[in-house]
Amino acid sequence: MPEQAAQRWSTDHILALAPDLASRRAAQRLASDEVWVEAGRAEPDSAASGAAVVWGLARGSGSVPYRTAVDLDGPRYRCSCPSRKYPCKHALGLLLAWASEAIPQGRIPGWVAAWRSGQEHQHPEEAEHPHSEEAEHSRPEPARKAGSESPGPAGRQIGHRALAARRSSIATGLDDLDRWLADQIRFGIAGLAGAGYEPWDAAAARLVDAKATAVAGTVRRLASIASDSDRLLTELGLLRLLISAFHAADRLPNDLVATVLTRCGMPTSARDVLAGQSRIRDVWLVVGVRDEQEDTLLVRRVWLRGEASNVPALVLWFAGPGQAFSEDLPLGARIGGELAFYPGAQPLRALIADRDSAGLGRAAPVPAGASIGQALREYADALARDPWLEQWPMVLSAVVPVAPDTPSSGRWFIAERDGTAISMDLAGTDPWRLVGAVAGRPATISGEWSASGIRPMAVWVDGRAVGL
Amino acid sequence: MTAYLPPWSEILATALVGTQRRAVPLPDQHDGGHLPGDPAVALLELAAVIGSCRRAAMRPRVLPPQRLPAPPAVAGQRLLPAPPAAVARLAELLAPGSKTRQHGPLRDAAARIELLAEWLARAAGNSMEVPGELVPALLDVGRRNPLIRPLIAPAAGERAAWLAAQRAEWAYHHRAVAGAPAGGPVDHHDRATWELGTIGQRVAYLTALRAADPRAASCLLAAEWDDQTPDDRAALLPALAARLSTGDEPLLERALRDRRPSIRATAGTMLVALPGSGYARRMAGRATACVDARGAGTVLVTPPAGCDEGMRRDGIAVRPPAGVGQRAWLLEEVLARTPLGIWPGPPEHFLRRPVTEGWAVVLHRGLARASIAARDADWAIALVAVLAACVRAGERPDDRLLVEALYDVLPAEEIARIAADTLAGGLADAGAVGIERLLELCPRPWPDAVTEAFLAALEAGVATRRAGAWRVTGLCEMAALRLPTATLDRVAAIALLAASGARPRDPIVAATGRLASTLRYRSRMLEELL
Repeated sequence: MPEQAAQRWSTDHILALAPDLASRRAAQRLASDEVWVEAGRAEPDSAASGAAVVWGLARGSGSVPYRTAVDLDGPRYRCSCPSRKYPCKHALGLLLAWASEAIPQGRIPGWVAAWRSGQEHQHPEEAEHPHSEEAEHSRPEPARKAGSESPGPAGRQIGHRALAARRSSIATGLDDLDRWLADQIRFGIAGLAGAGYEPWDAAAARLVDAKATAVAGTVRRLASIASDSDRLLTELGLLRLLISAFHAADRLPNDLVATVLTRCGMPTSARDVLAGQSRIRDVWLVVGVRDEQEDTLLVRRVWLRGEASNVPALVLWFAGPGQAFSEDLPLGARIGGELAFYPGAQPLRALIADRDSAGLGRAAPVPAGASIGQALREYADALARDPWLEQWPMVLSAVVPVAPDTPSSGRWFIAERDGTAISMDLAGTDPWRLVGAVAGRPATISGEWSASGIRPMAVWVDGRAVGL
Repeated sequence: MTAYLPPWSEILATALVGTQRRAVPLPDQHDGGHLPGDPAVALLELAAVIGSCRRAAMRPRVLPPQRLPAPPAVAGQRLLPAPPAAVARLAELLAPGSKTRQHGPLRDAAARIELLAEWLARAAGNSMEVPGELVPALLDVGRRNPLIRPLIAPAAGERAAWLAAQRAEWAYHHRAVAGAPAGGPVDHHDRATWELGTIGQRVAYLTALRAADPRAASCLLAAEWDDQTPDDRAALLPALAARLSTGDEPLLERALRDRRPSIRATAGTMLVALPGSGYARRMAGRATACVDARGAGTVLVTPPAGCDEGMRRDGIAVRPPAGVGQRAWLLEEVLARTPLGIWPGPPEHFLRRPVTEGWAVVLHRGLARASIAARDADWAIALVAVLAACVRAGERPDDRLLVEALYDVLPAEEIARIAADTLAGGLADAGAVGIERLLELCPRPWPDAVTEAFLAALEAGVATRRAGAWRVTGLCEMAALRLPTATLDRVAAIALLAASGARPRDPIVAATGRLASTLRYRSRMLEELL
């Protein structure tokens, strides 16, 4: 077979183009040989035939098959089916079939040629699509953002007056929370252990009404630790601390005020972040990728670490129901560029402000790790700047996972060769995957550190980054 | 900051019961502290300060050195790491994500296991290694799928053994490697296993003893035969099938009188296999009385007149199944228990001789049953040719099960040859003589002759649309996992042929399309392991 001019796309890449989950599912069913007839592909050639194109006839339930074609330069989609989704399931299915090399090379049929010659005259919005190159530059984060923390266009449009209104609304919500907290302490928190989700959800709902969305999330998450009274008391204390800091904002340094306001749910627009001063240019290594469901939203945390600066950074992506993340920053990726950090006393969350076009590839070097002692000191320093810190990224070098001494109960640890150890937070991950990868030979392990222990994200073995 | 902070335990104790009932332990306030007046709020602020300090002051634990895992021993030959694409493919085979669950060959769990087996075999063949992070998932799959077990060690090496030693759930791996029976490794010197073990362990003990000292095993079982429960007798007797000798005859004769039919049948099969046993001689006598094969002419058949007490004692079933005559049945029963060695000449010559009018069928059935029980390949080859012809001609369609049982006895190259010949007759006819069973028994990937014959038959079936859709679907599903991947282009062409001009929803279009998809999947999978 001759060298392919148009490189095949990965399945992930194609599925990320889907407008929703239903289309993804449908497309996968349409990706097999039995669906496509008279399908073909044409590569760009020296003649003016333009970019690569894939086409085919999709046998549907009706007697007349749909005509589907995808212009890979763009990409632009065309299908005779009545679906209003763009791209439709047929276009995606055709791409998937093409990616699995099921589409033979062929001559462009008349209807495809006619469509391509006519497409310049189409409405501009039809030619526009979520993954064009031009759009990439204006969007700081590849996945479309949604949800309360999002600094999307909505956030950008919030005027000063609206911000002030929101702030006073949050203040009301926090006062209400303050009374609720004091009541809990007055009557004792022992009762909360067995109370289930109800009291937390009710308190969180009132905070949502008051637009203090970030605090609402914190309160809702407390339900899962309510039986651990030691930890619960600290968290309740930290909530009270947040409320007093909010009210004392005029007496606090600017960075800390930013931290407090963010933790309370005041939005920060991406434009402000990108216009801000807190920027670091470095070569960034993706040391961990964690997906988590929050209500209806899928949140992806991409943890970066600067090679020269050794600064940790967190890039958040959000996907609504059925939306997909772009696979832009996989674990182990190495990108050169500048990060713009959200303001705060302990900057962590960041946007990719500008990314060197030449990719540094995926040949993942092992990140520089720290000892357990060093990592805990760094965490203590970070906590001193931002006591509300929930997860702190750690990259530990020369450590091994240690299984509990009794198989059914007991704690898992991450330990150094001399036995220095911190406990592991399993939280739904299978520790044996890590054990198998490490096989008793000390390795570099990254993880998210929290009050429950370290939750491993990745391990580097034989020069490979392995996600956990 | 205050000079003195109350202990955390005090603060927690108050918080648990409430400030209404327990006083707030207040810090020592030289600096004119400004704790709020409300004791509940004061407690919360103390909790924030002290709780944060405790969090920041978190110290690592120190584990005793024996808790740290020792790495696995490095094996003599090093396996190469599998390429990233192959690793991704293996991960998908082990735990199909939402992306693959609904489509493609992974939709079917059984097919997924077969693909996994093919991955592992190819990786081991190319000295490539399963990456460590996937070995635990592989061991989990092996737990539920015995087919996978022997393939783990060659592709996952010492890491699999090292991991398996750490979890009881994976202990089967050591047995799979050692080749020991399921009851665990058994030492035949350890008499306690025999006295106290589970039935599985006792069978393993007797098998091990039989291998070391056949006579001792026979005596042991004979001595305790009557004390065993019927279930145990049925489980233990087959352990003596290896290394049979005349010394075993008394015990087998006793087993022949057992109350349980399955034990009688096992004993009979073993006695037939025992050269010169009284049982074999008795049966041979009965058979030669009924079937006169002397000379080279017609084989003269005179069925037994009835079932005497001796025949009944030797396990002959008196009542024929529905539709079979009494005397024909008795003859079949006798022949099924007669050593095949008594018949003169090579099997194919013997079977070619004319037989007394109407009795050839019964003779062939009896001989087929005998060759299945004795696992005699020469007789099976000759009998398959004769019986399959009858089945295909529609004379005796109900002998298909017998033919399929004979296939099990055939050597691999013979199966391939018969499969190719059978397919040459077209898909519709091939179905009648159990082509599915033959193809299942063929080595994988299918040998060239079988591949060629299958593709030709499929092509013809699709072109003429004569083969039944359900048959094509079943055969395509089997072929998808067994055809050599080099046939992909040809299969894709057949799928195209099936699709052109088909009615909508024609199942043959879907079947051939799926066949092409699965082959393409395998082709990519195997390429990734180069």
